[in-house]
Amino acid sequence: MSHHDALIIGSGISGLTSAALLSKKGKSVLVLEAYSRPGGYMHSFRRFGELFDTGAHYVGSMCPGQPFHTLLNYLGVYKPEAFVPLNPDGFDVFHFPEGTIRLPMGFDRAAQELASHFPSETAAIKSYFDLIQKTVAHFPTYSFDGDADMTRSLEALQTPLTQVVEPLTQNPRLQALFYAYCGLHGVRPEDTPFGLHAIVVDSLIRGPMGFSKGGDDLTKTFVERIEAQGGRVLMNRKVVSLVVNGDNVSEVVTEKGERFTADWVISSLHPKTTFGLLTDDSRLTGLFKDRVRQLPESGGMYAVYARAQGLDWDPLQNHYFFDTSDPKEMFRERGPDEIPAMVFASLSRTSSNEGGKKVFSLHSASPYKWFERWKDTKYGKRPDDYKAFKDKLTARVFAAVERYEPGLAAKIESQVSSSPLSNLHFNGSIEGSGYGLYHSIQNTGARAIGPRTKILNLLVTGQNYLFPGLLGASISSLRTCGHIIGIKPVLEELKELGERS
Amino acid sequence: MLNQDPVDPSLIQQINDLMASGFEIPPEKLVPSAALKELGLDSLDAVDMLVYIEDKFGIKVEGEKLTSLRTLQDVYNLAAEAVSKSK
Ligand SMILES: Cc1cc2nc3c(=O)[nH]c(=O)nc-3n(C[C@H](O)[C@H](O)[C@H](O)COP(=O)(O)OP(=O)(O)OC[C@H]3O[C@@H](n4cnc5c(N)ncnc54)[C@H](O)[C@@H]3O)c2cc1C
Repeated sequence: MSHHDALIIGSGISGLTSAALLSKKGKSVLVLEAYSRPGGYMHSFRRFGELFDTGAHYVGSMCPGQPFHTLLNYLGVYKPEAFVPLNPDGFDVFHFPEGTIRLPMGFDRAAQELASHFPSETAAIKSYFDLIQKTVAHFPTYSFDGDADMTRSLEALQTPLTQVVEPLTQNPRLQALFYAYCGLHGVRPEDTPFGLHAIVVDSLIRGPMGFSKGGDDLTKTFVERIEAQGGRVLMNRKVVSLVVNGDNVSEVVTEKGERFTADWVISSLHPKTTFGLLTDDSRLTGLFKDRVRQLPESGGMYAVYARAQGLDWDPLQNHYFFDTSDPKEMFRERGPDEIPAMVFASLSRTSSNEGGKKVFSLHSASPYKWFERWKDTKYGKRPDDYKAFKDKLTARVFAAVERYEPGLAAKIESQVSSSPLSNLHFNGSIEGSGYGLYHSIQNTGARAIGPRTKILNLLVTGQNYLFPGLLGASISSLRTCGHIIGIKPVLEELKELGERS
Repeated sequence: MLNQDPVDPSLIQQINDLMASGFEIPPEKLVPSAALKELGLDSLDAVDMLVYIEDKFGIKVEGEKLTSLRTLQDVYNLAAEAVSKSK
């Protein structure tokens, strides 16, 4: 049995951020990961010789001086060659039945481009972008301003996106465009906290980057850094219980029966999982347990990973294919027999994407309940009716894209797909959800769970506690680790580093 | 606080019910002057309280006010203020 300053459960970007930050500050850390490889949703995999990513398609605020760049740099895990700037003239391409809109990098250019599509809405577009930039300044872990006005950030997290957009513009097509990024975290516009939306939009418009060698490369750099700072990351260590003794977790037990002790335990797992691991939950109130039990999930994802020939797509662009530009329709849950309302296409940024060959993934929302009947079947051995259902879903995803890219299906050379059950198998996320719990105004800001818990030395971190996405999950660890090492000095150092970059 | 309107007794009752059932506090301890700390409630419980009050009454409580709550009377007042604002 070995003792550490901090034990970290899960090696997704939040667990790795916690470990890198704490070990940088001289703490001894040990990361316990259930799967055979580190990275969580950041992990890449190979199929038919091509490299694909699960949940690391693109990230924002990655230019020098911007928050994510600064944070990774601060943690000693930023390698310029690992990232590739997306097309500045249009990194995201939004396809709507009425036409295509390319979003360029930078607020001024973005405003100009949108104004060219919506000439009578110039004022609304300007106000919208102004509000976004003002709002993000109030988030200390994003602006790195320790004196940021938390009243304002909490308010922005209590305000639904629709409540901000509707007074600005009555044009449904412009509203639909402003809501398009809700497809990234699966929270409907009426539930999306404006503060969360503002950070997503700000980060992507200012510094959109892809991964030149996949998310795995960033994971590898993190692990090397943690090890260089004396920490360790252990794989195949599924945590099965947190032994509570008095006010604290006294031991962390793995499936193999190993027992670890630490001053602090940080869990990056979903609250339902984390609190379910406690051997004694009598310190939790009935009210809290009810809240956790009732937390809704962000919904599952169906992904097709494909290689095509003769497809004229720019590897440095993402595509959002919408079946409708009616803001009320675009995030209505659809059935498996309907065309998906939105398909997100992300191209591989690796050098393999050359000439007419294109490697990419297509994502669409698909609730866990569609797959639940196969939950007890094993990965790799699922029955034929599951496979037939997947074929049907793949066909509907292609159909959604073909509306804008006729003949796509005929260009596909090879493809495989994954369902929420695959995510459940590899990641253990509740209901195989891609973004953890449903990040509505109901579950964010002043109402969020964590990072502290009733068990005094147990902290929580990751996408379930602050914001979803790699950036959100990573900065959530600043708040979490702030309870161990103090957040103010870290924010000051980050601010200074950002200003120097 | 003295010049504040008296809080609607049914609101007080509902909050007391929450304290008794959600936080397992003996009803006899639920007097307005009771310090939350003495009742065994900390800042994490204040978050659960906020969530409960918001959902129960369909209102929004200003999150940053949570840190200034000291006594049960403060909770009544905060809830009453949010209810009257939402009207
Ligand atoms: C399909 C998809 C596409 C996405 N695209 C993007 C994108 O383009 N850009 C972006 O920024 N974000 C994207 N995301 C979201 C992003 O990937 C996640 O928000 C982020 O990676 C979550 O990090 P985390 O550390 O909170 O959790 P995770 O990465 O889920 O890490 C949790 C870890 O805990 C491990 N674990 C689980 N149970 C146990 C246990 N009992 N004991 C030990 N370990 C355990 C898991 O194996 C996992 O490694 C996407 C997500 C998905 C699913």
